[in-house]
Amino acid sequence: MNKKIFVSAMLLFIAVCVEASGIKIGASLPDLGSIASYIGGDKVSVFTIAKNNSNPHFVEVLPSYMIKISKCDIFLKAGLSLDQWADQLIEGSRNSKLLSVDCSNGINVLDKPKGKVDHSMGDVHPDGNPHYWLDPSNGVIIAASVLEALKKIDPQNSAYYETNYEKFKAESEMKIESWKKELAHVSGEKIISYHSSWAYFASAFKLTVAASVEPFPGIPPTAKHLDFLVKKINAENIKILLQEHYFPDNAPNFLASKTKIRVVKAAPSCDNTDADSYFKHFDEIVGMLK
Amino acid sequence: MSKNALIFTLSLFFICTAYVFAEPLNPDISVIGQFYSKYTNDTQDVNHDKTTMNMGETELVCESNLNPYAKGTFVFSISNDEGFQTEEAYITVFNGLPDGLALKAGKYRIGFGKLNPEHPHAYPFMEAPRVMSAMLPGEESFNDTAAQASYMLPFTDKVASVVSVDVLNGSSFHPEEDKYSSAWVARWSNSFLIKDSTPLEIGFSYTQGTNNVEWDKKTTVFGADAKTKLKLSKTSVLTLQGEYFYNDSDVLVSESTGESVNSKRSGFYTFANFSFLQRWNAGIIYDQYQNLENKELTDRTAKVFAGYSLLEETTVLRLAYEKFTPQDGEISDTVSFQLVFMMGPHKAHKF
Repeated sequence: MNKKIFVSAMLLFIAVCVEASGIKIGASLPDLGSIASYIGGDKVSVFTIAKNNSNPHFVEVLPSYMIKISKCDIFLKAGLSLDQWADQLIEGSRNSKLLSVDCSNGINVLDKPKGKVDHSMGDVHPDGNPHYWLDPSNGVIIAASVLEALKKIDPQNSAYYETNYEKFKAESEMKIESWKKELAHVSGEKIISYHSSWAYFASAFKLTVAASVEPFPGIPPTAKHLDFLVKKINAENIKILLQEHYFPDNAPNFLASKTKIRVVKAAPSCDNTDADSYFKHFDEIVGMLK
Repeated sequence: MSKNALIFTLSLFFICTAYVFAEPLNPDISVIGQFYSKYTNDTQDVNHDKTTMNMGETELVCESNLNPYAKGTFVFSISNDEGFQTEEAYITVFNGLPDGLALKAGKYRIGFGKLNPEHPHAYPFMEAPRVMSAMLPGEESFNDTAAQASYMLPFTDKVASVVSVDVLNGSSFHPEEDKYSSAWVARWSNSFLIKDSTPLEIGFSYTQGTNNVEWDKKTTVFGADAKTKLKLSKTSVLTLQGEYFYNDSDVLVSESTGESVNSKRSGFYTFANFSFLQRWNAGIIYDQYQNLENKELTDRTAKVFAGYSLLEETTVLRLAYEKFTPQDGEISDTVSFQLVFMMGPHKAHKF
């Protein structure tokens, strides 16, 4: 009996040690977290700060997030000034061993403003459109950044992470082909987006964002702008309006009542950090646009 | 134009010019203007029964990393009453120290409670509640030259528990004396999430300093605070916050003999702020405290307020109605309007 108790206690101790010695990864967005879970596999534990049902531009700097990041080995930022709050969280975490990774490295950034940038252009991002994870081919570039970070922090498991990266890359390529086929019937069509968050998705699947409900990024629509949109949607026979859940419904509902446009409500991020969540998110969006 | 205003304008011009021509290594610069209009029937106010307009306090904020381990922050202010002032100038060391430790030194708004460290333009209700100036050292805010060490306790990743200790120059306790006498502040704050989505912070603060150096008269203040935010729908949030203060002071009654009386007073404020439809907010704040002259009397203030962010957070309109009820004086009513306009980068909101 005593032996059984001793063995059980030892197993429990080992389990605790394994958990404690795993690589801890924090991520600004669930999408970055999901990709990290895929590449890190059972060697990592991942958490995310922003939720998929809230606007990633506006995350409150909570001390509770700082203490979580204080225990991390790696933090994945979206960058391109989307998650400036992450810098305050990292600074507040007082974790000098933390490896902070800007996942926008290597991304072909869209909508880079030219010349002087100021608020007359709305809440514009001076480094370009930051919603790059919504192009699934950019997922592979994010995965490469995660791979480099993991190899740096945990070099003895480099081969394991490399294998997972290759698997992720292959699965991405296969799925992108499949999603493109599913969306072939809307390929080349124009869409309306609420915010400028769907530029990468549109580019990936050969859609054109003809206009946004917001006249400028972050600026609510005016009556004049809505009138312009009604005329544009009717004139150009635009059929889809992509809207995130956290934006008000008034303007999209108005447009739907005055035109034949279909409002598609989609989250801009996957809903958790599970390894398959990033792909499932695209399955959902593609399913909604069918 | 006064000398101070001229210096401020020239500084602003040179900084902005430098910013345009050498952007990469220049600090983040923001300027905050506050147009303010008020009508009050408070006979203690020199402009009672008149509508006044002024520019309140204009702030110039410069902030930048100094190296990979530290950053510097300057906050300059200019107002009709105070002229040009260095409101804050401090360095923060946040990296390269033992995990959990951070250091800060310079002149800054002391981290006593939740409201005092914040600048008033960040409040949803314009001015700080009267209880703050009645109970805390300092004239407009508890602001002093100090050095701080703070440590984030490493016990759990569920509760952010931070202990900080500040050693102060102490002049905020005795603003009318030039003699030096140090003071100190300690704070313990605990922040955690309820059900992974509702933040709650509970904090305790303590300070002790000398209110009269000549006769070594002490002031001690204890504070307790709590704040939470309840998400009511996808576009509405209710913020609840309150602070309690207990002030124990030896108050000098005779300059010649050093005779003093001990005064123990308490007070609190509490507010509810409802933010809705992304750009609107409305709420109520109530505060009360025992009068400094006569602690048997309690002064009370109730204020309702509303705000609207015009398109973006860079332009905010605020309106407030306040009823001040001093127990030994006349009840007064004040209506205030404020237009806050900010240019330059603005940071994410702290809880």
